[in-house]
Amino acid sequence: MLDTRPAPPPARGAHRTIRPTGVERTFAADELIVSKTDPRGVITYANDVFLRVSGYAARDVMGQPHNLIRHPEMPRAVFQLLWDTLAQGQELFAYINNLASDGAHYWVLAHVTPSHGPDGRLIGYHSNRRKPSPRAVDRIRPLYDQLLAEERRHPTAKAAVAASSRLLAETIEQRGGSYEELVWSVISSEER
Amino acid sequence: MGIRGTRASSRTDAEELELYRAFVRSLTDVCDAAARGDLEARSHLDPAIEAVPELRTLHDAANRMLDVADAFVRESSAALTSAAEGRFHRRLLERGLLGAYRSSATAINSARAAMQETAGRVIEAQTSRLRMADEFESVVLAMSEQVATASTEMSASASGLGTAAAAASTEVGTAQQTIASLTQSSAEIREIIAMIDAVAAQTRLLALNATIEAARAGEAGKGFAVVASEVKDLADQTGRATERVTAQVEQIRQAADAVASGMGTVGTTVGEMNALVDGITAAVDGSSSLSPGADDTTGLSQMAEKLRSEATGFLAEMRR
Ligand SMILES: Cc1cc2nc3c(=O)[nH]c(=O)nc-3n(C[C@H](O)[C@H](O)[C@H](O)COP(=O)(O)O)c2cc1C
Repeated sequence: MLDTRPAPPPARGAHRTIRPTGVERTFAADELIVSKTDPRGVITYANDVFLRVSGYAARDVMGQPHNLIRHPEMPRAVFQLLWDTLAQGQELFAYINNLASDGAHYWVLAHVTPSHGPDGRLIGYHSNRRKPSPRAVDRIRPLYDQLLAEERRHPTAKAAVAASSRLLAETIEQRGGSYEELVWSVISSEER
Repeated sequence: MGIRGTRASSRTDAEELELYRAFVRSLTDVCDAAARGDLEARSHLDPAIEAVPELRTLHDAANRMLDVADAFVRESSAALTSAAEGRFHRRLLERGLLGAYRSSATAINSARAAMQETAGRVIEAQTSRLRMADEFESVVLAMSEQVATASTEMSASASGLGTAAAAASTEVGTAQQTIASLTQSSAEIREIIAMIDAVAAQTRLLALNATIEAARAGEAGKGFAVVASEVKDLADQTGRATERVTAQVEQIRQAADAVASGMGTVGTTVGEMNALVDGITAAVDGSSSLSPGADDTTGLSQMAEKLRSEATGFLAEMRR
């Protein structure tokens, strides 16, 4: 698989590693966490719900790469799929575990899409996220754990993402469908 | 909290007013952009505005308004595109959408469900049409196969029949000739017998006269009388023999007549049969097989072939 994502600029200032505390944070079912990035994945907009749940101030996130809120237990294969899908101009739905500035984590059901200017040119990406149902998270977590375990067996990030992407593709194939059908089978049975 | 909040205390009223005005101007630009359909437009904070709670609240509210419109437009168009492409599992998520957005999402989802149902029916109809085409094809192919086989067999037996009929009519002709000559022979035999009969009668008369003359001659004519009697017996025997022959010849003549009329019937039947065979040949192979050049009547085998090709064309249409 091709890593089509351009390299984001290094994080501003001392990009400290936040240690996950295991504390789970949620938000209201009628709220949307919204962010926008430039084509490289650098944050250009974050709404008030984003800032409140992640625990960052606007000035802390603007101009930062979106992996600012990456949780270490999220498999690389999911983000690889995200960028591959976006590169094809397609939308993606994914369950994502995010890391807040204080080490708390919060699961979201993210919808990510490319943004186009009036002339049709790609100007960046957009994501809005909903509060997922706990049962949906319970269903997706074993798959992510499997992918993560696979990644940890490889010494380099490159080898890790290749191996777990292969495992993800195999899993999807075994279930006889596409990733889209897999995620929608969870959404349709667990979300309302 | 008013303009004269604690954090704003370092600012003059004029500065404060200018801050509000600047924010109103920038928010107006954002609203104008959004009104033109630019849903990327958002209000952006600068630290001075962030410090004024009312402005911060307005900023968040304006952006939330844009966020939900943006999300709705992105997700609803993707949902409809997916449905149009037959990927019906892609619903529009109602969570996070409120009021009119939610009712619109509900409406879109029910339209999607209706589309899915229609698509299901279309697929079902298509499937049954294909199944019908398959059945139709196997029936037509079997039928045209049978017709072709039958017409080949019929054509072969018609030509066999034609040969047999020709042989039969030749044989009937020969038999009729034989009977005619037999009839003629009978007539000739009858004439000869009549002649023999006349000779025998004459002989009997002569024998009678000889007997009378012999009696008149007395002892000297005794031997002659014996001869005359022998001659009379001979004439009588001849008469009886010719009677028997006449009867037999008559029997033969009657038999020959019966055979002749029978042969006549056979001849007519064979003639009719020939016409029938021609008819069958024309029906099977087409009229051109009888009169080359006139191919206006299609033969059974050509018809079977034509039926097969028409059916194949029809099936191709049906399977589209
Ligand atoms: C619009 C958009 C939204 C994103 N949202 C998230 C997110 O919420 N959490 C996250 O971990 N990564 C998110 N990403 C992906 C990140 O850019 C990045 O690929 C990911 O965090 C993996 O980081 P890494 O490559 O440093 O491992 C988003 C990307 C885009 C384009």
